[in-house]
Amino acid sequence: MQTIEELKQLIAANIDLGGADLSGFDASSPIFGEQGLGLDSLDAVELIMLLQKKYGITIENMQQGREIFKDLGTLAAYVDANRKK
Amino acid sequence: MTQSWTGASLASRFKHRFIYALIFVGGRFLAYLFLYPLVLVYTLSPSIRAKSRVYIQKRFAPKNAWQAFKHAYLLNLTFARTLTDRAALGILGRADIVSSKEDRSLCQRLADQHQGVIMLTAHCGCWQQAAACLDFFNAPKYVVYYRNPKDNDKMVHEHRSQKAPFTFINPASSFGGVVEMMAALRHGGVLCAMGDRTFGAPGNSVPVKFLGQTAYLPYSFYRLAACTGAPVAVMFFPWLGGGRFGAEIAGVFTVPERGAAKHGYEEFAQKFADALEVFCVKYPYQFFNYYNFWETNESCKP
Repeated sequence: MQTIEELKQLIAANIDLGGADLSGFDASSPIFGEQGLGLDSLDAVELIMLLQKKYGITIENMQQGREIFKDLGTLAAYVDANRKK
Repeated sequence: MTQSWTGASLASRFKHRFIYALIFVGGRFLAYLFLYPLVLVYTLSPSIRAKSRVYIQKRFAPKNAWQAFKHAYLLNLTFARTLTDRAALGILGRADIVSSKEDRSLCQRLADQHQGVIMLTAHCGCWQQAAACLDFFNAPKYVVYYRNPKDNDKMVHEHRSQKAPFTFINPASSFGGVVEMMAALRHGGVLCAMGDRTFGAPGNSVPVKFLGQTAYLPYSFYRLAACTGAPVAVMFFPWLGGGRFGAEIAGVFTVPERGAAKHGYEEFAQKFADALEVFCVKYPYQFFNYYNFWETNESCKP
């Protein structure tokens, strides 16, 4: 839960969400697409760099990316399990 | 509006195979001979001429219909020859790349920085052969490539049933392929991509001046360069005839971090457009974007 809040703050501070309020999003909120946070493929560049800088996490392939970026909960779980910082 | 281009082949699978057979039997020059009437037949079709009409108008400003037809024929003939040379490279295994020592040395210096290199080119000249011949980059190579299922033409390695000498990254895959692109650059790879064509949402483009009018080019690669620190090398591969093609560096630059707003990357897209315009002036019949390159729509506008 704490990591989810941390991720929401990280995304809100670094990615242009068009003024969207992230307080209503939870673990089941999709990261990409209009049903969730609304990030697009260009925002993925930013998000991957943020994960690398803040947590030392690298994502190597699309299959891995699809699983990790499914929603805020899957991303938070991956960060908790793999963070180096 | 969705994207204006399709990537589908004009010629049928049979015609492609017929050309391959001519190359196999008599070499590329026998195939060239067959191209003159074949391209004439295609160019007589109003729908085929319509595909290049806007470029012909902007580049040549023809005074009458005959001049416009002549330019369209020469453009189509050059394109057919580049495709023939690509097939000949695959079937016969022969191609001469003409490049300066300085450019080859610069390529290697960029690769040696181990930050990855974003090599941007365009749908002009022999871009298809180039991807198979980038030996002067001593680094793993990745090609961002969407293949239309209706593309009947074989790639160079497919003629010999070999594995591609590079890794494909499909921009139609999840997240537009950016996960693989970033991994490629992180491993010091050379990421080859087309700087003249926006894939997917037209909003992923920025306005530039090209041949006197506003066109829209993708900005994603400049944002990728800013995020990763990878230098951008703009390269073109002019067709020189008879199985020879050039490899010319038109510019190298780095992109400072400018955040997410796309207008921050317009100047880099403009640099690319300027280099492409220089290419089009030097090689007027080698711009192969067969659609209205300047077409605008609301979602593209800043």
